[in-house]
Amino acid sequence: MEFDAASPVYIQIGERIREEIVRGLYRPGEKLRSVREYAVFYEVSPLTMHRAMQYLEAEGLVVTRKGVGSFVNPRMEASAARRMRESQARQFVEKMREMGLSGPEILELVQECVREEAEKGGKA
Amino acid sequence: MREETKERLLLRMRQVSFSYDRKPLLRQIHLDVRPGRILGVAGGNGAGKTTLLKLAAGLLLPQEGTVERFVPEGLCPVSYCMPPGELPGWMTGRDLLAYYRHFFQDFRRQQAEGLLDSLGIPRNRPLYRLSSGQAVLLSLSLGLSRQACLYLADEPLSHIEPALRRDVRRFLLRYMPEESSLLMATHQLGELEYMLDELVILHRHTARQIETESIRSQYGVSAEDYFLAETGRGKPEAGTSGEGQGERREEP
Repeated sequence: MEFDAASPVYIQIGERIREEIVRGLYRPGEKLRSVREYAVFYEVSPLTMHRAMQYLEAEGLVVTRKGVGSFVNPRMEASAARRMRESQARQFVEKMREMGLSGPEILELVQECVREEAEKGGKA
Repeated sequence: MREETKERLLLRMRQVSFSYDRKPLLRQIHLDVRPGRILGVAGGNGAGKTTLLKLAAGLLLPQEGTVERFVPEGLCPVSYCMPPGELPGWMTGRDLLAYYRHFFQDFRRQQAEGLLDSLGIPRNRPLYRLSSGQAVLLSLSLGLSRQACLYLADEPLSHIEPALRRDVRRFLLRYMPEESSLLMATHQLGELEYMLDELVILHRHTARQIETESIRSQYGVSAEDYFLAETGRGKPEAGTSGEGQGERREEP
């Protein structure tokens, strides 16, 4: 598993799991893999994995029941998932601004992409 | 004695010195091993990695200073995973299982048998006829099947082809008991650094212990690059050996 050596690994793993949750790989309330399983999967120490879980808990995405395991926060959907999507969208907009696009141009670009995708999906 | 922190330790070395033939190898070093941690011991050739492990194992006694062990009930203080080269090569897996069972009361034979079977290591073949990867996994299976609070492994990834290193990492992570710790000497810091909680750098007879996550967050470099910078090696450059030159330089 590749990580960025310049920043804490527990945050990088936390962000990956957050993405999985927000993308809907886990349903709200669903049990996540155990710390040990994740540690083996990511090839990191169990302590790093514990920290990643604590990070996700602090972010409100995960709840941990002692001795049972960690679960996707059943009430996270509304707030956290939305925040995540917004921050992704904001990052995209920022990047486009850096490339010199105006607001309407960005909107046009997004519309175009969505349209293209729909057409592709329609053909398939 | 200095004021104790409340934190639980498994092993504490204080001002430990060790020399071979009056040549000092380790000078007044300190080491703390907390439960549930994976520590990597890094250092150049002859920096004292194996000596440090043997001091931790109790196979060597410090000539100065103290090595204290705090052993949770029901566990033994250390399990030194003997490198395949230190096990009798003519022994088969079955022989080694019997050997461990006779030597160590805390050896869980069924677990070890289960591990060998799940790894596909034949029990009737002598150690010297196993592949190097299998031999290492066999020695680690034996070592981890003891009920210890501290496991020691000397260069578990050396002699293992790169493609199999992941198997060894995952094996260790899967079977290490949760509250126990692992101290391993390594040349392959780059291969191990993400599974290390702490790094112990041996350099100029001293030891420095630091958390790998703080290396990454404070200095923004990998544990391996940090180690190279700390030991005056810098980043290895193509074509230059560079060792020796930087070695003696005193830092301000």
